[in-house]
Parts: sequence; structure tokens; C-alpha cells
Amino acid sequence: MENREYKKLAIIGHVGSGKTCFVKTLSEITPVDTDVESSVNIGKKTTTVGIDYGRINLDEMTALGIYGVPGQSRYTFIWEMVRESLWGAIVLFNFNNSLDENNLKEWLRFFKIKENAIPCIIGISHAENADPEMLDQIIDHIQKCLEEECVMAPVVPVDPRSTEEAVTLLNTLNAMVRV
Amino acid sequence: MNELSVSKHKSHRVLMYISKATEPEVKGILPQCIVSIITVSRKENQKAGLSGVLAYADGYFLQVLEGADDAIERLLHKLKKDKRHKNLNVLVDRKSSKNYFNDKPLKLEPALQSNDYFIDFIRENFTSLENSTITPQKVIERAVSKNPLQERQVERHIERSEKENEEFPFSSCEIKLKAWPRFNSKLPPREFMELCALISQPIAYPLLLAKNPYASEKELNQVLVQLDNAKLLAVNKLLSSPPVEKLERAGRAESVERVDREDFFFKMKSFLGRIR
Repeated sequence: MENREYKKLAIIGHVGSGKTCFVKTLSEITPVDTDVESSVNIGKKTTTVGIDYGRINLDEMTALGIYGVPGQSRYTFIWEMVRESLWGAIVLFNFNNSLDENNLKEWLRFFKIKENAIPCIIGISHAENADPEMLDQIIDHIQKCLEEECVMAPVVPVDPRSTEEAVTLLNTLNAMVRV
Repeated sequence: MNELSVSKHKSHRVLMYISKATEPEVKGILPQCIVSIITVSRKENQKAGLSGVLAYADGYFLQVLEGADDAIERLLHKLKKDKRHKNLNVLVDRKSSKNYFNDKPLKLEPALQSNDYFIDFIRENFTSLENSTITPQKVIERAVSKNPLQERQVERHIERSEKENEEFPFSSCEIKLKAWPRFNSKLPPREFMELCALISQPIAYPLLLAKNPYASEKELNQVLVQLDNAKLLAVNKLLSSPPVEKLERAGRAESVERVDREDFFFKMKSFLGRIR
């Protein structure tokens, strides 16, 4: 990638949060699909064992790499690579899975969201038919974590299959960048 | 009868003049320039602390002004150079301790003979002039409109324009979102998210306007008011205007043709603009 301006967008979350789908939705090119059949019942047939990757070419010389980053701390070697030239981060939570606040704080700190003023959005996936009270509680928990980490970020229900919503999130991240 | 108040200016001056409009007279019709004369004069006079009346009839302007001596002097200097009239004839120019028009803003007056402020002014100032061939009666006759409905229409039009152009309360302020709104049903529209993102850091209103994600300034202002009503905005008075280069640069983001190829932000903006 000589003479290219290249920045990274991290899509962070646990298994089943919608990372793979989101990367696919956004990418111009067919992403490298590293899914294999899961040996453990995780609620879906395949799971990513590597990293989802996609790319948006803004022009001949400029590109945004989209990285679906596994949320487990054993993948910090991947986190370190993605943290370089980080342009923005979208953290995804599956509404149907329990929320681990410690994980969220760990990601916010590792990717230096506050320190480097990285635009960040927290997305709640699989929330189309969510019970409003339950959704409220999850949003409350997430907001509390953000406040404790001094991060101001929107918490939004999101459908990773929707191009329109994915573009809205990209646009929002871009508007949060300080020019 | 109006109550005449004592002028608060030590050097209070009153001035009345008649002049001939340069715009060709059309019987019973006000000259085209009258709206701009009133609109601009009202604002400028208010800033300078001047009040009075303006009348037009049969191709002649008549104006009475009162205020501080230096403000009147500056305005008289401008009036003499104004190409919208000629043959300016000053009929009254003197110091006065009385405030005839009670600091009311400049008014287009169709019927001078019924304007109490004007009548008091004429009674106290004009009759004292000697060797004047123009009597107060002639002045009034000369400046009484034959079609007062027009003047009233002009005044209403100006009032409407002034209301529309009332400055937005945040226009000389810096704005910041105190907290993101709560989204617990579905993702809001793109424009709303973009606005919240723009004001997630302090931003001067003129810069925000240059990056306006909405189709109009009116829509932007409506949303800002809603956010303010929800107590989500911190608004602080700006001490100085943003530099012009910054405004121009912000404005460039809205035009795909002027995208700066060296800037990731503008390239992303351009890319996303093509996806709609």
C-alpha cells in the first residue's frame, strides 16, 4: 500500500455480536471470510477464528480498513495491530447476551478511546424486537461504564445487515473526527 | 397628545428636511427604494439612538430626526451624498432639550397631520423660523400621502421581514452537546446523528452552520432548540468570530467538487455522500 493514506475502523465485540455481518455490509470488496464451522454450540453454525477484514477505497490513494476484532482478551495481539492508525471504533453488543461491563471498559482503555479522542459508537444488535424496558436497562449499564471511563459516545440499536444504518454510523464517526 | 420626555442626551438635536426623490414619480405609488430605505435606516438609526418619521408624497421625501448631535451630524453627511434623492433642503436644525418622538424607531408615516409627535414637533420648531417660504401647513400638505394604504402595507411587509430575520439566539455562541440523546427504539436519521456528532465537541455556531447536515438553516435551528429544551446543550457566548479560513474550509466539505484530496475527513464525506 505504497503512498496510500490508510486508516482503520475497528468493529469490536464478542461472538455473535454482528461483527462479520457489519464488515460485509460496509466493504466495497468481498471481505476475507475466515469463518469455519464451530466445534462448540455457540448458537450459530460458523464462527470467525481469525479476523474479519474489509476495505473501503475512498479514492486511488486513500482507504479505510475495516477490522472485525474479537472481544476476548487472548486476542490482544490483534488488538495491538488494529490500534495503529485507528480512525474509529464501533463496539457491538448482542441484546440477547449478557453485558460484561469489564470487557467494555477494557476495550475502551486498550484502544485509547478517551486518550486519543477516537470517535466511538456503541451498537446494540439483535434489538429489533427487544423489550423496551430490558433495552433501557442495557443502555443504562453501558452509559454508566462510559461515564466512568469519561467517554462520550452514542449508544444505539443497530442492524448490522442494513447498509443505510451502517452508512449512518460511518457518517457519524466521521463527523466526530476533529478536523 | 403625547407626553414629551426630557432628552437623555446632553447634546440632543432635531433635524427636518425635504428632498426630491430621484426615482421618477408614479402617481399614487411609493418609490421602490422606500422599503430598503426604511429597513436599513430603522436598524442603523436604532443603533445610533435616532428616532423620527419619514413621509413621502408627490415625489418628495420629508424626514424628521432626533438624537445625539454627533449621530445626527454623521447621518446628515450621509444623506447629502445619498443618490436616492436630491435638492435636500434642511428646514429645521437645532439643539433641543425635548425628546419629541420618545425614542420610537423610524416610522413611515402616511398621514403626518395625525401624527401627534410630528404635530408637537412642528408647533415647537417650525413656527419659529423667519423668512421661510415654506409654511408648516405646506410642509404637511406636501408630505401627506394620497394613498396611506401603501405605507401601511410597506410597514407590515417590513415587520414580517424583520421577524423572519431575527437573529437566532445561538448565532454568536459556541455550542456543545452535554450528553448524547437516548436512542432506545431505532437508529435516528443520519442528519440528526451527524449534528450530534458535530456538537459533541464545542463548536462555534457559524462553523456549525457551514457544516450543516440539514437542508436548511431553519431545520438546523429547530433541532438545536429541541436539544436545548431537552437540556442537552451547553451554550456559551463567543468572544470572537471564527477565522474566515476555518469557515471557508468547513464550507468546502459540503461541495464534492471542492474536496481537498489531501484530507481524509473530506474524502470520507465525499464517499458517504455518493452512497445515499
